[in-house]
Amino acid sequence: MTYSQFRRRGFSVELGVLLGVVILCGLAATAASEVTSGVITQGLISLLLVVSLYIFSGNSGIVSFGHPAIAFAGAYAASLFIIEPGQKAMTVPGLPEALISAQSSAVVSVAIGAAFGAVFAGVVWLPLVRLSGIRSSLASFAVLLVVLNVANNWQDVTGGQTGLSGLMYAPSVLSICIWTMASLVVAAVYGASRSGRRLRASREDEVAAEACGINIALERWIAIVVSGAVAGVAGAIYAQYLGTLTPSMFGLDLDFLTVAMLLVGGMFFLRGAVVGALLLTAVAGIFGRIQNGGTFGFITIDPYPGLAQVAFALLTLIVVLVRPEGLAAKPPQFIANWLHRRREGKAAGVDTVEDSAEKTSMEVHS
Amino acid sequence: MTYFAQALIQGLTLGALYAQFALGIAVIFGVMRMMNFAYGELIMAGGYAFLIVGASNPIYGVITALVVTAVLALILERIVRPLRTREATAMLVGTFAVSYLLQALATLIFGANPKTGSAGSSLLQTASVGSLSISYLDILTLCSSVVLMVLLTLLLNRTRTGLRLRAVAEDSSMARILGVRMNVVIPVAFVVSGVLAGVAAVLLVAQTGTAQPTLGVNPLLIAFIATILGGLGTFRGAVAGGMLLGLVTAFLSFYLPSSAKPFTSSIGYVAVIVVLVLLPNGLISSRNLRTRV
Repeated sequence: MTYSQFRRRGFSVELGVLLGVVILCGLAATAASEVTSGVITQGLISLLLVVSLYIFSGNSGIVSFGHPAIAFAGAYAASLFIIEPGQKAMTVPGLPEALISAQSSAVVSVAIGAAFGAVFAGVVWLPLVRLSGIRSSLASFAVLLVVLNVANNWQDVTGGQTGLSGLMYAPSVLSICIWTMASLVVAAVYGASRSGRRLRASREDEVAAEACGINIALERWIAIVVSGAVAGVAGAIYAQYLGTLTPSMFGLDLDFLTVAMLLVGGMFFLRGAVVGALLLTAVAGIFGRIQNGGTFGFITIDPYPGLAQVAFALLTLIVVLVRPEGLAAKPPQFIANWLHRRREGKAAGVDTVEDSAEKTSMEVHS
Repeated sequence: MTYFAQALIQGLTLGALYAQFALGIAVIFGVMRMMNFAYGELIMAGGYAFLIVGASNPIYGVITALVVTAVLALILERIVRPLRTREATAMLVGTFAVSYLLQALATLIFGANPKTGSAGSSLLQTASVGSLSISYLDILTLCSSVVLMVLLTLLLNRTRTGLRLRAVAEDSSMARILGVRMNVVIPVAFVVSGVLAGVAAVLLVAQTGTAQPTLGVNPLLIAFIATILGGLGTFRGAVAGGMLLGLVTAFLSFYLPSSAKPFTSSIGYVAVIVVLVLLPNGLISSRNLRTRV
């Protein structure tokens, strides 16, 4: 395959750079102190969640507030397979015998989480894909609220508010990196696929896309299934990382955090998911340390609970108001210049069509 | 029979309160098609104001709560003003961010633990009529709802401002072409919403005697269900949706077996999804909500 064929399948230089960023994060996490490494790992897990949100919302233009519900479903399915049967019999006695005795390895359990996330999203979103715009967002929010309500109260099956604990495997930095990179590749390949392109067409102009014969509901459904699989992985890894699974981990806070990360980075761009997730995790991490108080060099700071959230919310608000298209929507000036020079020098080929398409989509949204 | 009547009274009071919650959301959705996720935090701020100031003098407490919520609503309006011309999702996320910010600020200022106080606790005594019992607070809730709705109806139907508000809710671009000043009408809607939030805050805090940063989450979710059930953007729909939700909630809590009670709110959320999918304009639809090409 030539380079341009690779590119048309989604393997662009941009994807390579993003994968490199993940590898760098992984290296930094292994080298850094325990606290910093924890923050970086959380950043990568957030990135997984944000990528799953991007696959649906970025391509369809519909902000989903329901993704934590899918992640919870995936995490729940995955966690069931990596808890001691004896403990399951105590915490979730309502499950069928086969599930209580079932066990698997860490990797298989994450795969189960992905499968369950995809199935869950596919079934639940079946009626929702017909909705557009704000109605779809509100309906997905209602889905999250139902899942949280059921998960909190169905004691025998979900473990209720205390949830599941005693997950046997903690994911290594390496495995988190691999899953994150896999999700980025999935997102890029889906974005470059026929379905992804059709869905983006419907995002730009629903009526025109429909007039061209695009079945918008079907393309949205495909996107939510792919996105659900990644959300399932994200949930499973998140639960394994914390060692427990409670509904409150996937509550309104996480909902706001992931949506905010995607919007701050730039909702229509895969690089936006990466920039948003890593930047906001860094902000939350830094202010989180200040908020806990302690001595930094010569300065002693009292603990201020809530400070990290204030910083996080302010940053989100400012970006939504000042750079609505997201921080990573346009490349920084020096890269833009370099790209421009590179394009000038190149003869017109297949790539130009795509570049101009990307350019118009940027203009529409800036 | 008594059991039924008791459930009915409970349902009507809940419905009145829920209708108030829903109206606060619907007033703003009507004029600018914005689902205000920060509405719950207005209630939370009003609740703290009432709890702190109202401890010595409940009347001052009520006034402070109303002023705080109205001023916050105006500030919120200034914040989201640049988003007005953007798609609905941007506004959704903007208010979500404000909501998160206010909750975090409340945690920063008052701490995450519930703050207790005795403001308005004298209202919790109950009066008995025959075998029925009803607390003074319930009576106050019903009365305040009726008064607020009458006032709102008068404002909407008998004043020029109300006329403009209805015109903007009907078709904002047409209203603007005809010379309605958006920067005047929309702040009015926010103040109305703020006052509704303030009254709701007083009633809520008088009931529980506590305020915490997450005080506004439940009212917001209730308002969210009620406005969608009633049809987004119509004032009648919001009242009807709130009333319906209150009655259904009360009767379910009286008649549902106790094992199923925790799932009551799921019924509301599922109803939201069903209404959105099958009746996109709600139970009471308004013609102007249909999107045109």
